[in-house]
Amino acid sequence: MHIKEIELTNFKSFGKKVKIPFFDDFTTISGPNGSGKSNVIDSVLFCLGLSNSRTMRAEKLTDLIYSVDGKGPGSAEVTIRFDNTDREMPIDQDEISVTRRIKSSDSGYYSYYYFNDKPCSLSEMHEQLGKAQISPDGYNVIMQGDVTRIIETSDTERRRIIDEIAGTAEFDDKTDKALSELEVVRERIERVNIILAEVESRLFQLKAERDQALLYQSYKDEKIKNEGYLLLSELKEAKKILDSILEDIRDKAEKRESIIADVEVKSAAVQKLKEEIKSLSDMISRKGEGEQILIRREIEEAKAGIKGCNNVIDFSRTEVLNRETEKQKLFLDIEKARGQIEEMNKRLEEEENRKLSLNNEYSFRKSSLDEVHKKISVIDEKFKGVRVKLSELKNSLEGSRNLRNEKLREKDRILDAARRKQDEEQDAEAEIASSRSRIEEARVEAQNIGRDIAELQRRAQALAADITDMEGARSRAKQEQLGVESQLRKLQAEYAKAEARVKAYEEFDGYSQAVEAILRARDSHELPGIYGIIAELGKVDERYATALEVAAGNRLQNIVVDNDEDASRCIYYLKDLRKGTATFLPLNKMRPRPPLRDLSGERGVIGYAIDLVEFNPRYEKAFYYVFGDTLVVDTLETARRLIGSVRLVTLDGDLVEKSGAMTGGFRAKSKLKFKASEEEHIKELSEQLAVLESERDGILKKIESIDSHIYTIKKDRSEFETQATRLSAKRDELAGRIVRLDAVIKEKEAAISALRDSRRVLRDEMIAIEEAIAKADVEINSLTSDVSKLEDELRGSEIPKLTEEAARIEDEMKRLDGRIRDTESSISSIKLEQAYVQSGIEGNGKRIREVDDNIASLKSKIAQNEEQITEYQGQIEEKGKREKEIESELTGLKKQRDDMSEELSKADHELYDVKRGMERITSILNTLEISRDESLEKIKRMEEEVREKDMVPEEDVPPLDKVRANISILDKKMQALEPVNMLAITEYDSVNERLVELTGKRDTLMNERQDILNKIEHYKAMKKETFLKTFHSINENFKDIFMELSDGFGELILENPEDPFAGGLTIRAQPHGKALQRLEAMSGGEKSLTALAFIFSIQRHKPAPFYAFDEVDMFLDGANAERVARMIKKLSENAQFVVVSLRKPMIESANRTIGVAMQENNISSITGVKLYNN
Amino acid sequence: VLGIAHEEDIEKSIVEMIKVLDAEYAYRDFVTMSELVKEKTPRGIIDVYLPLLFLANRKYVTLTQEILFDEIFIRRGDKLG
Repeated sequence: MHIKEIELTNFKSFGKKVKIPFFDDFTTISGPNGSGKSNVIDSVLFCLGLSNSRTMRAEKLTDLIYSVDGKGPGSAEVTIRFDNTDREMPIDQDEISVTRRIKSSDSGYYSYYYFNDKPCSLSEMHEQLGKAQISPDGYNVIMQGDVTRIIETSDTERRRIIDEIAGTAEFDDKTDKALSELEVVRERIERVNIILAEVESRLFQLKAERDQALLYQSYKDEKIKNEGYLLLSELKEAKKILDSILEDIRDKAEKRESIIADVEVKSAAVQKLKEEIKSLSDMISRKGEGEQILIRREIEEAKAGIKGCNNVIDFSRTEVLNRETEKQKLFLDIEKARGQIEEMNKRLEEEENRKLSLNNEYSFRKSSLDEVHKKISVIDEKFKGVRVKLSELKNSLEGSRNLRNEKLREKDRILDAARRKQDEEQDAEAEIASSRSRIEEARVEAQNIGRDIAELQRRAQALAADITDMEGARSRAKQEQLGVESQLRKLQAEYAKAEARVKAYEEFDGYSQAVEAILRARDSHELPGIYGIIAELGKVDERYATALEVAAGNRLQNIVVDNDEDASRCIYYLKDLRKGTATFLPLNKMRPRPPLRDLSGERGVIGYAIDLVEFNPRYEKAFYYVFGDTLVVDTLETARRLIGSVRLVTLDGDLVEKSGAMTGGFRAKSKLKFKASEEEHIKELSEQLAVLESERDGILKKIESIDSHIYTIKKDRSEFETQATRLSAKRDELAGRIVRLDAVIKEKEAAISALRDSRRVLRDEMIAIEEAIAKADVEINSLTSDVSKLEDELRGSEIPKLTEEAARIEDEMKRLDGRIRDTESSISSIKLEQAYVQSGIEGNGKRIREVDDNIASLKSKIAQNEEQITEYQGQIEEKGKREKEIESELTGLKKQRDDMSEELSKADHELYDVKRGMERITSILNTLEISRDESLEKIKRMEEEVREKDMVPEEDVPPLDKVRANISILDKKMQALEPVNMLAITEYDSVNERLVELTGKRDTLMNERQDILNKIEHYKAMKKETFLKTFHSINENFKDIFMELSDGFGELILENPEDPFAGGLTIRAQPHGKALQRLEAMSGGEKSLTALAFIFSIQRHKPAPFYAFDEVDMFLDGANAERVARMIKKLSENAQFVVVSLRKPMIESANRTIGVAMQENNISSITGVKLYNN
Repeated sequence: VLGIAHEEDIEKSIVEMIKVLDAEYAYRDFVTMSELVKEKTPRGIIDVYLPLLFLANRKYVTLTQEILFDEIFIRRGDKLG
């Protein structure tokens, strides 16, 4: 493949459309500087979009459009046509064209690419070109700048050229990806580690609890067993008690039997008395309460009867009066009715007369009709049959036609209905099919969703467990933090206090002038042998500071010196300077410390003051002088108790001398102070503080990291949960959809079967109708012909006229008949009215008779009642007499009954007493029975319990006191263990399980991590291998080409061959007859030559079908230019070369040269000459 | 140094070419390239062609070629009036 033609339109200096032909050999482009010769190469870069890696000589793309004084056509275009007869580009075309056009616009420019005249994107075009080994990062087109770039660039950049060619970026991308994977895994491992630590610590904690729980359980089991023994012995006891209860019951039952017999005897006596009293009472009630009451009631009844009779009589009398008034009224009505009947008879007579005359007229008409009929019948005789038949035929013809029309209408209706039903059926079937498929879809989707939900839930659960553990770890860390912080605060407070004390000491200037002077002299080494003042040399605990300072008093500022000579020297010094006095303690002359009485056993004694001060043992004599046997005690009370034995000082600083003198009260800050151990203490404290602070910071960091883990896990979990919720809502919706669709299917199926049934019915109907229509058609045809035959026959007879006459007469007769009927109805209505009135008269007569009877009966009733009254009065008199007789009889009987009643009550008492006795014994028996039942129940329960405890009831029970002792020992042991977390046993197992699971998870993650690391290592190796392969190939090429170009030796050198990517690439060359040198040390021409050699090496490594060079020979000297030209000429046997050059050796070597000159209007024009004809 | 020599080389051949052309234009309006080439070797062709390109660029002559790689006509440019 090679460039066949470049077509330039308004591109840079090519203001007109120019086509430059090229051939598959070596062409130079030449012309003066500024003629636009390099623009040809630029056009190739531009058109093929290779400019991203090469700089084109233009500020911006719109500068590429030809313009004069800022005016121009507004667009530029370059087309390159490739010859593809060798099919290097895998497209079955001899010519391939690539076009690029840019158009300037107000906001910038538009750029278009066309591949074979079809618009395409840059990357699409590059993809195509790549197939023919033309790529943006290749070295097809070399600008002058590229040569200098290779020379001037850094070693590392130069190495990158090889990287690019070898394509190592691919491995970098992969490595980056693997690294980000690694980061994810690392984070996961960290998370799992936190959780693992938490779970392990919980497990550790739980293990102790579990062991305790197990021990507790064993105690408990043993206790239960012992309790079982107790139960067994109780059971035996209960059985014994039951036996005694049973015996008691037997005894009491016997006693009860004898009492029952006694009760029976007594009851019989009482019964007998009761019966006697009852018979007596019956007699009394018969006599008195029976008869007497009966008589009284009868008297009352008679009186009431009289009153009733009187009422009846009164009522009857008024009723008689009413009846007679009614009778009179009835007579009047009868009279009126008889008048009405007379009138009606008259009207009847009139009507009868009218009827008679009408009847006569009617008979006359009838006779004339008969005459007409006779005439007709005469004529009619022969036509009679025909006419009757005609009228029959016409009737049936009309009938048939109606029927036919009816059927036709019906047929249309059925056809329409059938069509409609069929449409409906098809619709329903289509709907069923679609519903089914939608159900299936919904099912599948619901299943998928179900699986997804389960997975999500499982993951959310796993995360929930992680969160719990994380939170556990967090709270533990928080606890730790709190602990550390409180410790920290305490230390800080202490530190502050100590610091304050040091400061106080430093600010203190209470030493006497003399002491100060001596100390200064010591510090300036003016005086030898001075150790320091007591306050400096002793260290005291803060607690005892006050006491010790008081105990020492002014001696605190005594000065310790080595010997008496030193002391005397100091004294002279003070004298000389007139600085006052000071006390010196020469260690060689001071009295040693005698043994002191041991008072540590005494209450309230803290110790000898000298023992509470820390100092170098060599100063002991001095300190003994200061403190002597002064004893430090806690309170003044203790001091008082010990007065006289030693010198005493309390913690508050109250002083009690041996003599008994007591000094004390409120003490402000003491003037003289021990410098104490504060400084050292401060150092210690600040060290501790630093340790604690770093510990706290560590914890805080840990909490922070846990928090961030918790946050991410929670976010993940809530993400899972929302997803699950969303999915389950969707699943619900799908289930609902399925139900709805099922219902639709059922509905439609029912509809279809209904539709089929009705269609079947319609079809049957249709058949019937079709048949009926056919039949009707046949009938109509035959009838029509019959009728027309008959009609012909009838035409022309007299009949019609006669018939008309007859009809007229008939009408007249009909009218008369109507009038007769009216008259008749009028007659009958009068008769009806008459009969009604007549019946009214008869009714009234009957009523009068009834009233008469009524009056008579009422009168007889009155008489009867009057008789009855007389009878009642007689009865009343008689009964009054009998009543008095009975009363006297009763008094005797009642007296007798009272006596017997008294006897009965005595017997009753006796019976009651006996019954009480029986009740008592019965109740005792009941109580015993209840006890027995309870006992039995208890035994049963105990036996059950014993069974439950897996004990044999017959088992021997160890001595009870031993059992009880065992139980109490076990109780104590258990109590000692409490509180016991029994759940710890199961919890331990589950936590242990989780630990195993997590460990597995971590192992998996670690493996994953190792895999990724291996992968990264592999990529690294691959990258190096790929690189080195390319490097060696290019290096071999370079050696050859350099040799060819310069007759010398040159090679590419990796700065770091072991790890090429850590170092750069340099070129070392030894041109012919010169010393070996590095690129940097070469002359300009040599550099150019070397760079060109490098470029040729690359091209040889990765050959391309064509090459375009822009003035690469500019800096070469004549000899080298010739060598390069020769090389290109040789190379052009295998590839197309287009070289912009002004150098004669180069131009001469080419097959032809194209001359560019700017002849008019700043437009480049083209001419060309062939140099070798072949 | 060599580069400069090379440039001078061109300038020298341009001056010589002007002399040749001026002589020709004294009696006619155009000259063809093939008339100017004495030696039909690549070197001989280039020695004529390159100065002509420079002169065309300086508007001393106008080069026209109907068909690429065919005969080149050399006319007087604007500079000569």
